[in-house]
Amino acid sequence: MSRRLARIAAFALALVMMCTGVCFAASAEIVSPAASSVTDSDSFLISVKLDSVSKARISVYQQKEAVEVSRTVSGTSIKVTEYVVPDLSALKPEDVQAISDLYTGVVTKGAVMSNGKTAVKYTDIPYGDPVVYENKAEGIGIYTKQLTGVAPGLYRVNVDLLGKDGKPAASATTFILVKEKPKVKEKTDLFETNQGTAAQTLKTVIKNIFK
Amino acid sequence: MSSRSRLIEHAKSVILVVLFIATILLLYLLWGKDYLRPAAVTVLRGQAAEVNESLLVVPDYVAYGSGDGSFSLADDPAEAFAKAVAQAAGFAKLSSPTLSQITREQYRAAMTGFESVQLSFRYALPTAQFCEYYGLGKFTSSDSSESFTCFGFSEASPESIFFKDESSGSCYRLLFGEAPASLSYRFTDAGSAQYYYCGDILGGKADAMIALEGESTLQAGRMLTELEADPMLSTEIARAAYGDTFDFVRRLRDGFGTLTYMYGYGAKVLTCYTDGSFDYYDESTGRGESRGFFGDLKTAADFVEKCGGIPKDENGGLAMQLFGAIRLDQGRSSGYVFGFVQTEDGVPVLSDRGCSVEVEVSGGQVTRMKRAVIKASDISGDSREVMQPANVLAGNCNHIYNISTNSMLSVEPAEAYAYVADNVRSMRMGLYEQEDLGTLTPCWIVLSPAARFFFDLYDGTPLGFDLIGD
Repeated sequence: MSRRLARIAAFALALVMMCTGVCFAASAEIVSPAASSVTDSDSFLISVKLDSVSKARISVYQQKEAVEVSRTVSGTSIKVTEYVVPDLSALKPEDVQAISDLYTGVVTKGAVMSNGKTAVKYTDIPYGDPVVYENKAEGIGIYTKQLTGVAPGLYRVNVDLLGKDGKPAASATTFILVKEKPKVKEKTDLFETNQGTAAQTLKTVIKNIFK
Repeated sequence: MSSRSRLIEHAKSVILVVLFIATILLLYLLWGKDYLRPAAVTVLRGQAAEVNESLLVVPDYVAYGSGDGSFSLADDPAEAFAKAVAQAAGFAKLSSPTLSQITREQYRAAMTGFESVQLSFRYALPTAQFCEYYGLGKFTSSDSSESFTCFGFSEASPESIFFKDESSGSCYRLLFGEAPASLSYRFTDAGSAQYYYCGDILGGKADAMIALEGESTLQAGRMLTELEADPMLSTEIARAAYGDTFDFVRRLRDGFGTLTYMYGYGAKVLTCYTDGSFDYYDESTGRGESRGFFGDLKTAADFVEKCGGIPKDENGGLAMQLFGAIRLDQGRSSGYVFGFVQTEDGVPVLSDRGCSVEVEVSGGQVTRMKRAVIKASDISGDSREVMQPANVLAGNCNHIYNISTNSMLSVEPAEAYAYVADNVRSMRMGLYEQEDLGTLTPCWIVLSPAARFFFDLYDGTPLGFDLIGD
């Protein structure tokens, strides 16, 4: 009897492992926006890669700070929670990464950011309706969307890989900081690093000699 | 002898000398000019057909960057190209520039992170000849950057013109002391479709510009070869190719119906195949000098116009574009092999055989021409949504990988996907010629370093490919 039970248990275990394997064979990867990126444009690209036949829910959340404020309703003062956009304009990609790490559980205590404040978890406020994308192809499928007219703030792009029951089986998330578009873009140091290096100059000289 | 008769004798001698010199000069004018002229011109004698070769040089696309990584493409690349050249000419009037090499990442950052405009060609243009041909003057050190496939302007450095050579992977910028007063990053109207670098969508390094989504009015149409449309074309092309020597040309027809015109002992051969394609071959290597990219292009274009004609659109404009150019350097003779592609409704028509017309110009004369031009009909219909380019690439990554790497072994999808995300060079709409079926199928034309692929425009299924090598 116990032998039979053991066989059934082994079979059940194998079945569970196979199912789990099927469930997690599919994977979702957020290609764009790049992890912890910063942009000063009011639009950005969302690109999600799904590895096999699968369904995913793509959601965008704006990160807001919960603030308790007093309101007077019918002569009575009550406290209500309002969600405001925190001023994160001075943050750098590494600061966004610090917030992301806190969110994903890589760290439990927020690091000190370049604005002197400690990274904290904000509240997810849905930005538009989530989209369900189904990759019907056997191979890789790509979901793309350009988000336009985005207000400055911190956003979280989240992808839930949905199981057959419609519940999230796995998730991927990334943060992007949208800054105010400057009226005049400041001069960048884009070309300062490798202008006229010795090797290039030598290459040009040699090229001209043997021309 | 009296002094009078001696004077007459002297005058006679002078007249004889003058007559002798005049005879030599006249003989030189009569024969000498033809003798010195390259043989290609003899071939071209007859009905002179002049083509403005600059009309064949049209960018693959003109992309206006909005600074957030997205681009919109100019509706009329030829018009945008003319305006970009005028802007570059404005730079040329400024102080002498300095040329410096920049990294591919810097070039990409300048085009994606800032307002920008970039013009991309399917072939490499020689920088110095380009500047000379379009009246841009001679930029200092411009000859250090031998050729380019892209050039553009960016808000990242308004006082610069940027160049990129896709074949060598080199990027340059010409830095001037200041920017022209009328600097612009948008020359013409652009379509509403949003384009991104392929690598940004798929997660790789590929520089192909692909749309997120799109629509098209292209539909499967019918085609006739030009020989089916005009059975006398073989004779016309032969008359044009052989010129005055046509009366001395042998005409042979084999059992398969292939018609061959031969001059001498195979010195010049024109073969007219039953599938409507033509192959002209002149074994004499050019005695003259190569006239450079644009000079040789004119020679090629004039020859094509003369031998069969360049396809025209309904407004009389050229329905053909330069699609490829390979520099030849074979000892004494140098030149180019030009590939021209026929356009219908503004999109290229291609097949597994490659370009519609291929012309080899060596030593200043046409030494080979392959021609397979078609007449298309019923290729336009209602507007429909096309299959998303990113999904065409992702769904066919194993096919692209196997053909491009010449490996039929199965490979992990992730490896094939990474190859595609890093190596796709171009992805554009077009028409795929299925000659055996007599049909034209709307397609995505995808270029990898080793092959050109055709995928159905609406469902992404593979239609064919053409190996091109690198």
